[in-house]
Formats: sequence, C-alpha cells, structure tokens
Amino acid sequence: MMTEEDGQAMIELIRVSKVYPPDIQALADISLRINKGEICYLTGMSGAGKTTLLRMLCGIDTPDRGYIEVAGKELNKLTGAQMQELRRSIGVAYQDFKLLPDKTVAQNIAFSMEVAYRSRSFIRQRTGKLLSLLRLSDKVNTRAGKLSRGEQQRVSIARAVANDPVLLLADEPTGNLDTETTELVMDLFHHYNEKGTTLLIATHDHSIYNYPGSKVVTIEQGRMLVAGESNDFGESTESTKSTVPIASTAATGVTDTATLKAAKSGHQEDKLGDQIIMNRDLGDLGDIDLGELGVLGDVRRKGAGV
Amino acid sequence: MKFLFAVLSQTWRNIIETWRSQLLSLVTITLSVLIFAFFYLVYMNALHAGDLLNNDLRLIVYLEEQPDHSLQEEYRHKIEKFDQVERIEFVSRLEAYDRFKEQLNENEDVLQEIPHDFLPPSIEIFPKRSLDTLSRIKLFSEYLQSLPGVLKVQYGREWVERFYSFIQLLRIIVLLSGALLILTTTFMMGHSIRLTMLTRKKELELLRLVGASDNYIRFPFFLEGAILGVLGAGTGLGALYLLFSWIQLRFSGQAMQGMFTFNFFSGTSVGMIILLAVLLCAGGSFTSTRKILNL
Repeated sequence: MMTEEDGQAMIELIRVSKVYPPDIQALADISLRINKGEICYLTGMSGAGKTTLLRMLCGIDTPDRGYIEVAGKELNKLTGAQMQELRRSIGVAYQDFKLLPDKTVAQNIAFSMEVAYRSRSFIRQRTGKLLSLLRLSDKVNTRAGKLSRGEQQRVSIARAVANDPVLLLADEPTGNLDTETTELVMDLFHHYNEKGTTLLIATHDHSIYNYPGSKVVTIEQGRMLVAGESNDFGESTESTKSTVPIASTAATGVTDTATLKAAKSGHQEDKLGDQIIMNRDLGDLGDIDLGELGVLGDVRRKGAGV
Repeated sequence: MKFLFAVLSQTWRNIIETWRSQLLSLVTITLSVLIFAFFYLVYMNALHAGDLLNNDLRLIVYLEEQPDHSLQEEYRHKIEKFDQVERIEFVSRLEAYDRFKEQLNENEDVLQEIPHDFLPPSIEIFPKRSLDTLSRIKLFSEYLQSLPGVLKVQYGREWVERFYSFIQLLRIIVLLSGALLILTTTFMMGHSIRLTMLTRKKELELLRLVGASDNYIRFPFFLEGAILGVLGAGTGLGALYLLFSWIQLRFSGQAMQGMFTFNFFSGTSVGMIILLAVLLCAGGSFTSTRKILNL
C-alpha cells in the first residue's frame, strides 16, 4: 500500500464541480487524490460523471469550480503550450475510441508518437510490439474503419500506451471485449503500471478491479460515493467505505483556488473546521487522500454523535 | 531537426492525400502568375522600347528673337529649374538655315532666293532619360510654352502621347493582373487549405488531443502553401518563357526585331515573382489555418 509520504500526487482534485446547461450537475464537489504509480478504478453507472471527470483531467473540459492538478501542474493555469506538453505525457483511451477510420491501424497508433517526435524506427518497433501484445499483428495495415468494435478498442488502447505515458486515462477500456481479451488488456495496463504509469480506469465492469491494492472510487449522479481499496477478492475495504456522499459533507466555504491550494498543503484546518481533516490528524490513515478524508471526517463525526 | 522531419512528412502526406484540390490550386496559381507575368513582361519591354525612343527625344523651343548671352543664361536657368536635362543647345537663325540646307541635300537650290535668316532661332532641349520621361514631357512643353519670347514648342507630340497612353494602359493592366494574382492566389490557397482542414477535421481534433503543438499542426499547411507557390510560379514563368522563346523564334529577323530587342525577365525579377507567389500562398494558408484552427 502506498502512503502519501511515499508517493507524490499524480492527480489531485479538490471540490471539483461541473454543471452542463441548462442545469445538469455532471460533477459535484469531487475531491480525489491519486498518487504516482497507483491504479484507480472509477466506477459508477452510465451518466454518473466518470467520462466528464476524465475529460477534465486531460483538459478537454474545464470545471466550473474547484482545483485540478495533474502531474504537479494546475490545469487552469496552464498555457496552451504547457497543456499540449502535458497531453503528450498522458495516454487516453476514449470510450468512443477516436480512431481515424481511413487510416491504417499502424497509422492510428503512430499518431501519439509522431507528435512527440519519436523516430520512425521507434514508432515501427513500438507499434509492432503493441499489436503483437494485443493480438492484432495481422491487422497492421487494415483501415481502422474495417475493424470490429473490440479490435478498434484495442487499437485505441495501443495508441494510449504507445508513448510511455506517465498517466493513463481509460474510459470503459473493456466495454467491447470478451473475457480473454479483457485479461490481455488488463495485463498490458499492469505492465505499464509496473513501469511507473499511473492508471485511472473508468469502468462498470466489476471483473476488472479485483486487483489488490487498487483504489476504487464510485461516482453516482456526479457525486463521489465510495473511495476505497479493493481487497484480494475485489471488494472495497470497509474502513474506507461509506454510503454518505462525500460532497454533502465537504467544506462549503472553500471556493477560491488559493484556499483550495492552502487546503491541499494542509494548513487550513482552522479555516475549514473539521469538515476537511488533514492526513496528519488521522495518524495511521496517512495513505488516504483528501477525497477520502471527507468521507472519513463525516464518518468520524457521525461516530462521535455530531 | 525532428520537428522539421515531422513537418515535412506531414506536409508530404497532406499533399498526397488531397492531391486533387492541390492540383486545382496549382493550376489556378500557375494561370494567375502567367497572366500577371505576361503583362508585366510586355510592360517592361515597352518601357525599354520607350527608353530607346527617348534617345532621340528632344524638345525644340522656337524663339521670337535671337537671345543674347545673358538671355541664353536666363533661359538655361529657367529650364534647369523646372526639370533635369541632359543638355541644352541654342540654335541661331544661321545655324538653323545651314541644318535645313543640309537636310535638303540635292534640293538645296530651292533656298537660293530665300534670305539666310528666315528661320527662327531655337533652343533644343534633351531631357534626361528616365522611365517616366514620356509622362513628364507634356508638362515640360507646357512650361516652356509659358516662357517669354517663345513662339512654339515642338516634340513629336502625337507619337509621344500615343506611346504614353499605351504605357499607361499597360500599367493599368499590370496592376489589375497583379491584383488578380493576389486575390486568386490567396483565395485559392485559403480555400484549398480550408477544404483540406475540413476533410481532416477529425484528424486535427485528434492531433490536439494527443498534444500536438500549434506549430506541428500549422506548419505543414504553411509549408504546403509555400510549395504550391514555388511550383505555381515556376510553372507559370516556365510557360511564359516557352511562349517568349516561340515568339522570338517566329518573329526573328522581322522589322519589329530590328527596331526593338525583346528581353525576358532578369534572374532577380524571376526570383521576385516566385517570392511574391510564395508569400501570397503561405500567407493565404496561414490566415486560413489561423481562422479555422483558432491558433
């Protein structure tokens, strides 16, 4: 298990909210921290807000409120060039694949490497290796539009990991795959995780988050319901499980970025009262992030009869 | 280096994938350059011919009385004050008579009964040759006519005015064809790049999602414009050169060739036309990408 002291945050969200017009609450006060090298599963029903969250993390969408930091960079402060640089270091496997149907499988995978100015030999070698791992070697020159959905999904995944990303965001990566191929893809993800890639996988496929030590975050109607760790049996541990929405218990007075940042650095206990509890107050729960703290704070207060 | 290589390969891919619209742009640019360069070449040669004619160009100012030395100096001063001249010659009544007699050659006996001072004294003015000599000469003659003691000013008015009108017409055509070149080139390039970008909309979106830099996205289009500019201008000028060679071959040894020498553009002019086309095409594509990609 990774503690906060051991790992720096790869993703940090503090009270992130997003409302789509006219008044669809896509995300409400989401707070979450994922350390470097961690695997986090984002679960929830369709329309819960998983995709919106991923879109915000790769800068496609912006929050109405809240603080987002990815790889040590505060997203709303990034210039265009800095955002482009960040995107080159993030791999994204989109739910709708975002493949170019008129281009071959190899060309689609090469895309992410070309923008990072990788050499031709590297691109050829890496593409071949990935296609072999995903059992698509025979499709290298096939146009993406001619592939089945399952094959397209694997190509999308190959493109996402091709550039050795520091962070991999995958939106329903196994939605169109059979059990055997799902295992293949998950093995690939874990291979990259072992190499240091942080994984955030949005899924409602229960079968894929049964890896011990992985973080599981559940979202429902834009609110974070559960933040915990999967055990050996793929279930969230009780210590971090709650049915109480985190957002409902989070500090309501924190709205500006400066305060959020100060809260992040752990010096705003007085200001925020006991609604946000810092890790150092929790003693042996030091590996639990801010998002979880909201839950725990609430649970603790409930336990104390507050 | 990696950036350059990536941009070049992207540009090559763009050209191959959208060769039909590229070909259409190339033809339009070639035709525009050809039309502009043709009229410009005619204009340059006409100016050159005018320059040759200017060698014989002089204004003859007939005077009422033979000017003495001080009056000659006064005339000289007033003439030089108005415009720069190559030289001024004062011709007395007797010198005029001698010249006339020389011109009559075998028929000089017709002058036997006529007094030697029957011709008026005159001033012959040789204007300094420049590209706009013809346009200035009319004004100059009007000024000379206004000087005291001047009877008449003669300068081969009719042909000068006709030639001047021809040059003016050519100048307007060159300007119009230049405007045509600018409009068609920038419009066609902009339109072609816009079409390319619309057909590759998904790809461009994806490029942004995977973190392509603005220059990575924009430069291939910019380069594409520049390449089309070079090819279009080169082809247009090549076609004009063929036409020029054909005309020279076909009309060599004829009367026109004897009078004037037709020249093709100098290397500098060729370079300038190609540069102009490149700038226009690159500018058109730059504006288009800027507008559509919002870069």
